[in-house]
Amino acid sequence: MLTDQPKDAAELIVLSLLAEGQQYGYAISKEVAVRSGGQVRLTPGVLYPLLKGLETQGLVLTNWEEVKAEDSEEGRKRKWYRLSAKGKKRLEQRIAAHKAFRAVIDAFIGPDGDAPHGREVAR
Amino acid sequence: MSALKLHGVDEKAPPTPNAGGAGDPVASWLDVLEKLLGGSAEEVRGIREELASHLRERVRDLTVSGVTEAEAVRTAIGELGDAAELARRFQQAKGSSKRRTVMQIALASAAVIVLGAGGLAVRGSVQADKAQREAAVAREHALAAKNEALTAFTAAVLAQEGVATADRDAAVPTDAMRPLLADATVVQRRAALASVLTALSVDGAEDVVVSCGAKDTWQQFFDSAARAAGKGSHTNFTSLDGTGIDGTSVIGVEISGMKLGEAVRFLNEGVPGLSGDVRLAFRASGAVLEFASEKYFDRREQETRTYDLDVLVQDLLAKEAAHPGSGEEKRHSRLTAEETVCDQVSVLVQDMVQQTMWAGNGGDLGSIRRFGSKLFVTAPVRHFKDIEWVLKEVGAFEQPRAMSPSGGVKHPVTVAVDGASGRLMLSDSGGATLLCDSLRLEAPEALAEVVAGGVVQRSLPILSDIPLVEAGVVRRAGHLMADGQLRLYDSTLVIERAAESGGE
Repeated sequence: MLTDQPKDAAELIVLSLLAEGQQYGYAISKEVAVRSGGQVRLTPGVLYPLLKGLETQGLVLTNWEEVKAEDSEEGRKRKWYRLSAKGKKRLEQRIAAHKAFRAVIDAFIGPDGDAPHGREVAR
Repeated sequence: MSALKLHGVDEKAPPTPNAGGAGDPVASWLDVLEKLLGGSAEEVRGIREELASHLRERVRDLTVSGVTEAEAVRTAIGELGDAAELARRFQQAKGSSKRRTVMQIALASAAVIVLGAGGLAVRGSVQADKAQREAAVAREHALAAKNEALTAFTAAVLAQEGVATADRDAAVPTDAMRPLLADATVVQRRAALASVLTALSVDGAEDVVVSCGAKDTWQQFFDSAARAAGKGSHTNFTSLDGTGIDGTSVIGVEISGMKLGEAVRFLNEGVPGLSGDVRLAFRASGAVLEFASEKYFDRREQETRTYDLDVLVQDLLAKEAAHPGSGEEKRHSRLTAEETVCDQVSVLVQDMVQQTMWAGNGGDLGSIRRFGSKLFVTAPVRHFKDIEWVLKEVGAFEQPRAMSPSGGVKHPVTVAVDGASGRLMLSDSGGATLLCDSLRLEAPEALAEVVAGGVVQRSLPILSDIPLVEAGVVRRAGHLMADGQLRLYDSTLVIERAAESGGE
């Protein structure tokens, strides 16, 4: 089944980022905004439940880090996420699915999106 | 191009109104969220710490960019959106991996015990350590059951879809399975949990004392009722379409010191928009007090039960056999006797119980179908009491077997003591949990009563006819019975015993 749902895109984006190394929630949201040039925003209301879902499914592993704030004595905790073996496999599946999806769409619009109009191609 | 927001919660939604005003707004908001989150204390703490950390960093970044601190806090909290919505997302996220529900095929006939209503109860004084340990054990068992359930369910779905399950990872929902799983589980879990709640009427929401001024909005009334019940509020305004009730409309009547149940009855009588088809109703579900139309809950709490009318059929045939004088042609065969009896009983039930809801009468909430001498009755769970009364009166009642709404999928519920609150915690296979103070089990044999804190007032006698379904141990329930499982299928609590221990 071909899907290109935003929710699936969010999962693909997060898994891809984690494939590059461990990250924590806030850093992920900033990184996504920066890399997409502000086109994609993973709001915390989406991101954290998504991470929770990935964790519950065993796709990511987590650990807590004590963070000392420079400006206050009170410490806080930061939750780091990294990809599990299962997560890597899921990412590969997702990338394959995404490529397949893109290939299908490209067949209509051309790889650069400048293919002739569908009607003419059909002849 | 405009920025793409991924499934964002409504950023304009204000933080939940019952966030206490005093003190640190971030902490207040987190307090509200914490109340709405289900799950273990540890899990809730983890979510809280993570979000607190996110909020601090976000506020710091915003202030560095020149925004005032107060504004930064508002923005950061605003980005998290509505606490109830966020809590729901977390629940859903936890659910998504368990995609639950067990295919308990061939459950044979388990003993069925109908859950009675628990009252408002006192918080149990539990020795926290012991309770926590036991809760942890129960959680482990619940988790194991959930995993098993997931594997069974996904395997079944995959098989149905013709997908080979060469590899265990196939149990991870694939894209193709996702919609299937999502559909099945949301509907089933909601229905299962809702009927649990209905059956239990837990937490005394009915008796919560509420007040409101004539100029208060409906939203204020719902929120204050929820506060009085110690819960968050959630209202399905869509289901109240046509009544003129929305978040901002004014309630127009004054209520002072009335019990919520009475207040809602009073509103249903007194508010013009409510007297027609759409009536206001509420349910206390876990940490949330839900308001919606009665029909909305009825639809959500639909259930199918079967009743075997064989006794009546035999009766009819026996009577005819005893009076052979009435002429061969008028005598029933087995088949026509079944038809006659079932038709008569169906008509009677539809006449006696909420006439307008039955499909046969143009309604869309109830239906009765027949197979042989069996009746399959689908109706909102709250009507089964009346339906079963009618069946009892005609001598046709036997313990029904309940089926979950989407067919054959069961919802095991485990019972444990919640370490944090000392209250009884029911968790369904979907990860939904429900806290209550007392849980009374009723059966024809009148069985047991458990009170928060694990005080067992009476123990379950061994029922000799309980079939041997599956061995399992739920530690808390272990006080009730040596070996076996306590499971909740929709509104019926089923106790399954291991073969070896129940065999006499």
